[in-house]
Amino acid sequence: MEGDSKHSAKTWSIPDPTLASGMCGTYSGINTLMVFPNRPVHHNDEPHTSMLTTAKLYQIESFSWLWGRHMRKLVNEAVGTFIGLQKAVVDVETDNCKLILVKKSREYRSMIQACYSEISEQLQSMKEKGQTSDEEKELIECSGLLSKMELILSLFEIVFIETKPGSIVLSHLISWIHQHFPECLDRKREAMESEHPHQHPVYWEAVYGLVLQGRTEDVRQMLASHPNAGTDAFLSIDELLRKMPVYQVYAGVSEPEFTVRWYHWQSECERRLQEGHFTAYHHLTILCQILCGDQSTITSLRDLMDTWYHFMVSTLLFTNPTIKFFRLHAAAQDAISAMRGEDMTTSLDHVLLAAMEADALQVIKKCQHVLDNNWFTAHITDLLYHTLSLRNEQNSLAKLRESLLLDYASDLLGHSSHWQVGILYLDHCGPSGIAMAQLALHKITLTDDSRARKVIHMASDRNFDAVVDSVCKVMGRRALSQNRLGAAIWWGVRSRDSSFTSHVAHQILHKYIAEGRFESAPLLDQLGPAMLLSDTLTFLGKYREFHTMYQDGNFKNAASLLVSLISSKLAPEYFWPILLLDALPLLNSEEPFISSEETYELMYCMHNLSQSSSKSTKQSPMETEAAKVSFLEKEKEIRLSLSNNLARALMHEGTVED
Amino acid sequence: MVSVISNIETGHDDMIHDAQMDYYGTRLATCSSDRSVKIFEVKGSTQTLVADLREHEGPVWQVAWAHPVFGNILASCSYDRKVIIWQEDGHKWRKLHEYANHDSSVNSISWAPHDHGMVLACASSDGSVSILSYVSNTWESKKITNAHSIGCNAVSWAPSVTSGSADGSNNRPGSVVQRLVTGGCDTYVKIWRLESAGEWVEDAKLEGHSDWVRDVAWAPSIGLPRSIIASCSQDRRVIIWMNDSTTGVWQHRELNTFDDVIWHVSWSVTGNILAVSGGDNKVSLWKETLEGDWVCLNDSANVQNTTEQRTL
Amino acid sequence: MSTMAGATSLCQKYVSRKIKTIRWKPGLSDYGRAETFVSGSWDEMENVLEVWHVPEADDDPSAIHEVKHSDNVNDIQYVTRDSFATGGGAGGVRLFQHSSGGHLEEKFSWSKVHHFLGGASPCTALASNGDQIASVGEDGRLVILNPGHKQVSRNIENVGGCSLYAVIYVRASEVLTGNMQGHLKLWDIRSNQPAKATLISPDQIAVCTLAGHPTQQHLVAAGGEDGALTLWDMRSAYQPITVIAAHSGPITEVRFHPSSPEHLLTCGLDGQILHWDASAAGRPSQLPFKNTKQQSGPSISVWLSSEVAQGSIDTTCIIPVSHLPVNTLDVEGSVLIAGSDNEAIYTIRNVML
Repeated sequence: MEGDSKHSAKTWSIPDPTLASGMCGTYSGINTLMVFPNRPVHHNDEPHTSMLTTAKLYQIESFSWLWGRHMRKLVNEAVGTFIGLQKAVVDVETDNCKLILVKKSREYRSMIQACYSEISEQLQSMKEKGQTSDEEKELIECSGLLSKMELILSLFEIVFIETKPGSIVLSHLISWIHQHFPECLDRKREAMESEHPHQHPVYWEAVYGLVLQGRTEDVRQMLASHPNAGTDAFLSIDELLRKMPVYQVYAGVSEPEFTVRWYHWQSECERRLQEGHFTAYHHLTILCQILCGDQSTITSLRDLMDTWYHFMVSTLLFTNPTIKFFRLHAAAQDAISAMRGEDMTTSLDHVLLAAMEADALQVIKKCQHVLDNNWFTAHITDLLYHTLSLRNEQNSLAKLRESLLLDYASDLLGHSSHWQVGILYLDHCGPSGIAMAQLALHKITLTDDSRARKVIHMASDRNFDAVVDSVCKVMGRRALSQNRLGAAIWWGVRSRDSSFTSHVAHQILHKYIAEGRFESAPLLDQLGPAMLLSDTLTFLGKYREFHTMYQDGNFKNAASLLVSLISSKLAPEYFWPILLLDALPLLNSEEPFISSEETYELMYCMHNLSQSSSKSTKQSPMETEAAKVSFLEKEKEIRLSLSNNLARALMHEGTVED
Repeated sequence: MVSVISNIETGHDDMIHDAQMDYYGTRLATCSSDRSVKIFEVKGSTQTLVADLREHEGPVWQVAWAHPVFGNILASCSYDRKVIIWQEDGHKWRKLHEYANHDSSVNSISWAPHDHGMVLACASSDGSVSILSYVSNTWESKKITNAHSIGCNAVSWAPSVTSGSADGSNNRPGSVVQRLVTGGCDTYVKIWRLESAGEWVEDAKLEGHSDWVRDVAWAPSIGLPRSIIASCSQDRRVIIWMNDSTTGVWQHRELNTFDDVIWHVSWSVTGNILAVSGGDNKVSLWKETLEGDWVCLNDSANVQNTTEQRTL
Repeated sequence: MSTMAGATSLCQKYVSRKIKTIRWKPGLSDYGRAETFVSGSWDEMENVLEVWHVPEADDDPSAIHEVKHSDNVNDIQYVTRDSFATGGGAGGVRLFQHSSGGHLEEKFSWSKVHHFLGGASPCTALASNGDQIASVGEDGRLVILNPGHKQVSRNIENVGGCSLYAVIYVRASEVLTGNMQGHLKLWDIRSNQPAKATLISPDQIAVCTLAGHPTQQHLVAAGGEDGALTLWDMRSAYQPITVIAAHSGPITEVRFHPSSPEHLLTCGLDGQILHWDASAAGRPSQLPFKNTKQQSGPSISVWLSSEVAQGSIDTTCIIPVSHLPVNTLDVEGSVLIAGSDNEAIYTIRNVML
């Protein structure tokens, strides 16, 4: 890392001179900022025309390495592990919890490794094709980042999750080094595959490298291939290597017992060295000096250990194999000064050092400072939070965890296609997460029905009724603006928005008047209880019922429904003429379907209608000139039919009474 | 890392005063001293002009999109003392309503949260604030006269408080208190509340600035029982006003004193970041730390000096 | 059909794109092992079609070729053994051909087949009878296209503009559509009128997807927005044979197994892939499993049996539940493939066990 905490703020620039005279920034999307040249104006004065000729606007978004095609896998794979972890720690009893945390940590690591090896393959194939491009540069950068994150996470796992403070850590550290520094095995293979291994230039480098990682079996194999393997010196060193005690937590050897064995073994090494077992063989002397823990010999081989932490672990292996966790810090400092001196340290070194000091907060802070997104920090903080909860320690991390997860989720929500993953994280961030999820779901662009359905599904899963309503309303509005009345009313009914559905129902009625056909008749016939959403919709639904009854020849019921529609004033006034025209064939039928009382109702309605139409005001219920003409043409006929029907009905009613 | 995802030639002949993306970030409205309001369709890095609205007779200060549940509706306010509400109808933009009941420049407009209905607040140099609402097919207006002496520069609505209740349900219509915040030339930031009788009353008068208040912005609610307002002023300061509902007292904390006048504050959609811009040619982003301090995340500035810090 | 060799195995490959639709390329013969499929993405700045090879061993499929697709790939349907049509989010239909070396070539395209006032409407689903392509969209149109002809062969408009979400060929000249209101309509595409009366689901639950039985053309399965699967007998019923609630969110795709149609598979927004096994219904239970070569006789009736009608049918979720929607699946022989919004392609082998 270049500037440490000296630069608390990072500055990005837009090379545009027009912005030099002042600019304004305003938020325009979840993570999008809009910037344009601007200068303050006193609103009270008429402003003078500025020099500006063309005004440009910039949309700015944060961009992260995480959005790269290969790295995206981490986003989707990690969310599964994350949710699995949240569920597991709730379900499982505490004993197994640590195992789960270690398992989850390894899952994160293995996805980083998988991502790393995929990028390596990609880079390899690019190299073979001889392509060099910006993409390659980016991939190299990413692969470097991934291997460092994996290095940190595996140390983090050892230090914070797997081991207890105060316990012996070296065996874990050795395997950490084994994983990340496998070069000595490559050298071994290279040498052993050659015709005369012992003459290969890297033969002894490989031997030293292996012993410095405690890989004694490999060393013995290599030495066995030496033509002098049968000599006393070789047999002697082989015995020492074979007998080297290794401390393992679960090996059944107690720490004091191990210390005694170690002491005996190392004195034996020293004795043989003193007695000159190896004087004939310079290389074996060095080997034995390493076994004896000779600091200057180990230091002289530091080039075989790329880093101070490898150096530290190798040194400890032969000088202090039972080192306690809390002494690690001093050893680390020694190693750093032996390797290069403090001024050469990178941010990675600082992170690792902080981990060895068991200062988790520093690890998180330092990572946060150098990584441009919160994928890594949020997940390790979550792991640590659950580890501490497990130990019933006072958990100061709860707030930090939540805020890092919120930040990570908000990065995801700002990305055009990771919004769903973002919502999943917000489920685990307390009330703030719920609030942010609602805000974000409201803001998801409803590009098509299928995306809208996904937003609705996510919202209703979480009981965000207001989000569901608002999505349906927006979809209804849009359908209306596209002149899709059927779709509009369907969304309106779903959102239970009465004023909107009324509005659409009116439009459907108008369209019926103009065209004589119904938009989405089947929908209207099946409204059910949704019909009660608004008066206009109720009318529309009932009016469709009338049509169905009439078509089915159920004239009696059709007639009484029609009359009740007219007399209840449920019908909008502009629709009355249509209803009266509909009544005409029923009035003219031989058998009276409309009773005398009902006929009076219709006559009353007729009276009102002709009065208002004669006024011919703007408010006239007659929608169009054409409708008016057609109604006036039929007016006489309707009146005649009304009186005829009245007579027939009265007669009929009289007969029935008799 | 930050990248410019698009740059948009607006074609305005004079200074742009405001640019607002619609609710979903697919359309952009801009307004300018050239008296026009323009609407662009933005898709990725391309944009097309869909409307050039020229009804104002003076510089247009601000534009504001209504919530999409009301359809495609945009409001604009101008030096010509007018507020115009525009509607897209059959893919043509037309004037839906014009409000000309102010005696001086209308400087700022803000739509209420959509659960209050289609309601717009307008702040004017005549010192008053108008609240326009669309009720049963007509526009009604209410006025807070003499809200700020000398003039009112900015107005912003409080988020609908019930959103973000912990159980995830926020269907408690009727119980929602309507509040808004204004900032004026009298150096005050004022909170207004709608009484059940339908009158707007002063809820709080916040004293802290020593010069004209240029902008106010009420932060989106992020699930905590507290309200946050940011205000900025000619006095080069940005103040964060915070009210946790337990005490009901507005605490203030100075975000920073800048090198120049600050004239715009803008909250991110999720309410966790504040963008501050002013005369120093910088836009700086601020975030509250866990300890309750406000720290600067970065600024996008026009200085040619980029430092990349992503190496681990 | 595969024998009982080997247990079910699951590969979950992260492909860095949300997969909207996935289809097996038809094999050269009906008995060959299916080894190539295509996938289409959605919700990306740059969407793609990808061709994949599935190795015989339990390994992940590997990508062979990819071509850009400017909009969401809402559906893919094979027209011939080596050409398929895609339905796009911007309302276009395109025809692609597999050429040698596994590469794809765009052969033909119809732009804005679907549109409404002021813009393009998403194409939501496609069907093919091996000759024509039927396309439906959110504009409510059913459009019939003939490969090689720029001209739209038939354009059937739905009054009211209710989005159509699903389409299948029931016969060579009969097309069944499903829409947002839950209406199924059977069209005889030689005439312009619906061939049969509208079938209506009572609650206006959108029909999200349809699947036809591979041998019994009158049997149709529909996946609903409420997560229920409905089975219809097109010969008689004005209401479904049965409605079975299964998913806890909209169903995104339904498939009868092509050679063992007593098995049915569904996936949904709830992140599940369900295997419906009706083989126990309507058949003596002690019947040996070997007897599965030619099942035209007994298997047809299983879906019409009373057990199924009563909803007693075994369903099992065959993947660990995904936290994000599973958008699509296809099955051929013993291998099922599926694509999800978690940017994974699932390959499930020996799925019938």
